[in-house]
Amino acid sequence: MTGDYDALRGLTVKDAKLEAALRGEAFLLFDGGMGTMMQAAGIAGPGVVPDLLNLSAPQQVSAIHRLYVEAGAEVITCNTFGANRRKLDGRASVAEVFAAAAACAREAGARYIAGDIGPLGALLQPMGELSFEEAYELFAEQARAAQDAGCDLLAIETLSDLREAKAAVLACRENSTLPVFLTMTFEGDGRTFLGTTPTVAAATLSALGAHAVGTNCSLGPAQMGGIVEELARVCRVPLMVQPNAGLPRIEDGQTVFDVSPQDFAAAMEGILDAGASIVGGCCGTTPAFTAQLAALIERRGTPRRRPVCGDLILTSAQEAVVLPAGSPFVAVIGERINPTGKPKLKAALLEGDLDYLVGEAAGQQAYGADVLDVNVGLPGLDEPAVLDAAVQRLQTTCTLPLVIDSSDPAAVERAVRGYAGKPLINSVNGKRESLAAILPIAKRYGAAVIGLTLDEEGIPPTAQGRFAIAERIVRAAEDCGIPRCDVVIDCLTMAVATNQDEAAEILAAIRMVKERLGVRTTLGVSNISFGLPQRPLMNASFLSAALGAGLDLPILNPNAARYRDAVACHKVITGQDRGARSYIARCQETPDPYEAPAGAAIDTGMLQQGISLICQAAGVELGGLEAPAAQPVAHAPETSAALPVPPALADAADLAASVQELILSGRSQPMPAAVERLLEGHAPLDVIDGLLIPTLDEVGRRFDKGEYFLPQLMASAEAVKAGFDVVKERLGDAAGQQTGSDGCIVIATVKGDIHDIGKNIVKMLLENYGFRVIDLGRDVAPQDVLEAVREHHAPLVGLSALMTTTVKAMEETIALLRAEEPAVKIMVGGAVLTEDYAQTMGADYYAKDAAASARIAEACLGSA
Amino acid sequence: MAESGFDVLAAIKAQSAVVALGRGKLDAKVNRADALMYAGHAGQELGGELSARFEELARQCEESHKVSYVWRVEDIDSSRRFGELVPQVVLAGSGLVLEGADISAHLRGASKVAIFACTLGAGCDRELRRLGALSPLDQTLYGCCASSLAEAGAQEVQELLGEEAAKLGLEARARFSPGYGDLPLSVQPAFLQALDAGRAIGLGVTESMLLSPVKSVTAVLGFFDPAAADSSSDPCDLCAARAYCCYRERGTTCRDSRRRN
Repeated sequence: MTGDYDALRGLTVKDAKLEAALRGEAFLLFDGGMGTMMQAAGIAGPGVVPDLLNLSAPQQVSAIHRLYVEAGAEVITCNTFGANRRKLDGRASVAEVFAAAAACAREAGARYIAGDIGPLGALLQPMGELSFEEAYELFAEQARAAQDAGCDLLAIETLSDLREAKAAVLACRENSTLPVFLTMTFEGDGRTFLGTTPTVAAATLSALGAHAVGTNCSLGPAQMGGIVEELARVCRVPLMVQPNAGLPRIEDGQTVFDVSPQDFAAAMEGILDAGASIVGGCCGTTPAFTAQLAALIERRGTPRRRPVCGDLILTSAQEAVVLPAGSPFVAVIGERINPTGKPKLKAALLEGDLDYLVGEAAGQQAYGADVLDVNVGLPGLDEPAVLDAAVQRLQTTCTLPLVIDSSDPAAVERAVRGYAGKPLINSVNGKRESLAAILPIAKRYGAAVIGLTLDEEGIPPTAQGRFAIAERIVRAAEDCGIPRCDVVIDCLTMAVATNQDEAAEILAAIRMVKERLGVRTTLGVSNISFGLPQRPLMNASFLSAALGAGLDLPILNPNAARYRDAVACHKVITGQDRGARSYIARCQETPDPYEAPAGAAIDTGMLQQGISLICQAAGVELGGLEAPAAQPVAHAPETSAALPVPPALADAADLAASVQELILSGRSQPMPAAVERLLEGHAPLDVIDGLLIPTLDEVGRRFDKGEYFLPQLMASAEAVKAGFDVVKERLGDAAGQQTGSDGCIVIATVKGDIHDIGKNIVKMLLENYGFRVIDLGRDVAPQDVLEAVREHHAPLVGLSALMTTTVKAMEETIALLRAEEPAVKIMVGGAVLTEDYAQTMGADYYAKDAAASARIAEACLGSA
Repeated sequence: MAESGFDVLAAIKAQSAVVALGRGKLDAKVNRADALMYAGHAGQELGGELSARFEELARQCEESHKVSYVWRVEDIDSSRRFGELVPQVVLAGSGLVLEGADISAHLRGASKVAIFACTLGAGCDRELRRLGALSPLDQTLYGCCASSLAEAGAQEVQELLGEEAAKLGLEARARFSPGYGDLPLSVQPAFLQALDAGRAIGLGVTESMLLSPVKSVTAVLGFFDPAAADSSSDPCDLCAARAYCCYRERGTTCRDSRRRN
């Protein structure tokens, strides 16, 4: 229970009955379908905007409401489903429509009036163009209008995008004092159209501060059972359910719904059993359904009490990681997205290359990480902006929940605000300043939070001292309204080499925190081995000890097999891996490294450290990150047409020829080893300029002649990149800046266009020719292109647009660049463009395909 | 519905010119030849590795995405058929207006009109974004597979509509999509609204009239008396890309692999 915090404090709650409903102690009955009723009344039809009927046909709208009041509905839902500024499109103001709609409900004798808020009708990024803040503003205007119109509560409904739902709840909470009800629409497969599950929706939205959460529309009550049960298990607020009367179909020219009022009420029994307390109907339901529901509720008297969910639940928009209260459950937090000690990640962040982060995320996910930590703290970087961008990028490409890791409260707030799910904030600590800055953010955005056991005095050396700070943090969180199941305590690892006695204290602290506070714990283990040899060995052993003490969320590098081994064993011991199934499967795949003879099998840990020479000796190639792919090097060329070997590499002609062959046949995997060997005794530039680039040129020629098609060109480019990466590593940072900042190319898919595959192909090819590419992504505003050109002093810009409708944005971008940066050269490409059209628009070059773009870049910037 | 004061069903019946509607999900297959053709394939020899990679992505694509669809069959509002400045076809149930000489010609003589939308859903877009960050080649191949899957789905919906037409003693003919000929893309919002496609299958449209999720198809087709002459023209004649079409350059069309299969 959360201290003295009262979730209803500060709310405008009309009367005691509504308050009881908001506490889950009384039923609340909503009305039913509106659209069918308006059609039946002859006021709706083709071309009619339903929300405007409040103004043009108020008596008829009110008459429908009255039928529901007479049938027993306590809450009348205003006819404002689409009444947002965007959809009304100037035909009436939002305030006018809400005022008229509320008047219709009042006129009908409604006990409570709900301001109805449907989806915005525009898609949020990245599906569409609407930003989170634009969505927030549209909802905020509706919330203010509803309160001004005299509504008693806000009913947000039929949403399928969790991020849109989050914008709506925040806007309503922050722009009105009315209770906020929110229902999402789940399909037959148990997810919304955008992939949100009931658990994700209930955990995220109830933590965010909605006062009732549930589901409406799409299905009949009989098909909703599983969805409602899932919602009921995790929802911390009253559960709301408004099913359809089944599905509409045409029978003998008539629209009919499957479910009768009687069948509807019968099926609603199960939904009430599951714990729903706020009920009504959606599409196809009529006052007859409401009357049946009223009788059902009357018979039941009070709703079934649901146990309060004490699970720690972290969510992305699609997936939930659930640590059930009272049972052991280990979830691994992947630590790889953190620039400390990772030069490549650091370089990627400085370059704005977020693809690199996605790669790290995908790798960790493949190795079983359950949650990903995201930290982008680097001197000289605008941390709030970059953290936000990183989180946006990751949440649209990876389904694991994220840990928002920053010491800057502004960066934390901006990132969690736009995050669709329920993240874990890393971190707050026992300092007064930190508690005051971070806990309100966690509460406002419904995040869970990590508490570090340190305060103004530093890190206490004893378990008791750490525990005392943990206790203070938990209490402060509860005072803010954050339940203790959403607090995760980090007892902080110290190096055993310098604080040997403390290791045992850390383990004791974990035990105390778990047993006495009943909260979850996290720990970054690798500090323990600082200053000692064979650190992974020490880390893995300490990890096992910490797991034994009750560690729930270890923060570690999931790519390291040793740590995965420790976690896998622990899951068997504690019963999380039932029947040791995963463990046994794992042992079949990976032999015990202490048993395996050298060369017979590849130690995954070694591979991952990139010991490619050993692999060569064993006659195998690196495959992916660490998959022990037993693939012999191909010596026999598959593709004929021998290319000349450059004189500088003449003494290794066979090897050079096999590299050419690998490029021509588009095989990346054997490339690093082959190039590595070539670099023994040859200058890196001879390898690049003498071998890699000329061979890629040959691929380009074959593509132009139609001998190769696009995927072959790309596979060859990938092979070149694999070789290039080895050379770069050899050259160090110098190679990363090949062409210097003056030689870079800015590319973008223009405003309004979300088709970026073509642009990505161009980027890949240009990079493999050694050009530095600043990729602005898709749906990029002209001004952003201009700013990037200025910032990077780019002599060349590439723009892509797929559709005729978006070519206009390309013209605008060109016009802006011409006016502001006349020296910059512009190349354009895209399915509907032609040479002539490109010229008409004022572009310098028309790139008919990716190969052409590489030639243009060479002409413009010189060979890279 | 006596207690409600008016007869819901009778009122709907009086207004409705919707003949039938349906929605559902179906499993479709990636047509390998189509998918490769979208990637520019014109008979080149695929190496073993590339072909295995393509096959793996095609398989993943098929396993990951079902095709959700929604369709309606409506009468044509004959009162608004003639005399308009711009040739147009108006659907009597939803009021959807399809403007343009090409769509008017395409539907000339039709007894009923079917509209449909189908989509692979948001999960496909998410996977394409993920692959875009990891490997543009995989993204390209997957994108082509997904296009083929959406196309296969559209063809299956067309077949379903063929059965609907047969129930009425009619014959469903070639489909026509917004953006073909002079039927503007700007009809998409109204088109989706007529189908209630947002609620039915989660399909929306961006401000620049692109469908979202991306791998989606909207189309209209006419139900004709089988005896009526087929007046539809060669699709290439209506295509805006005709002048610079890369398929025609090679003496083929974008529909050829489909004809082969």
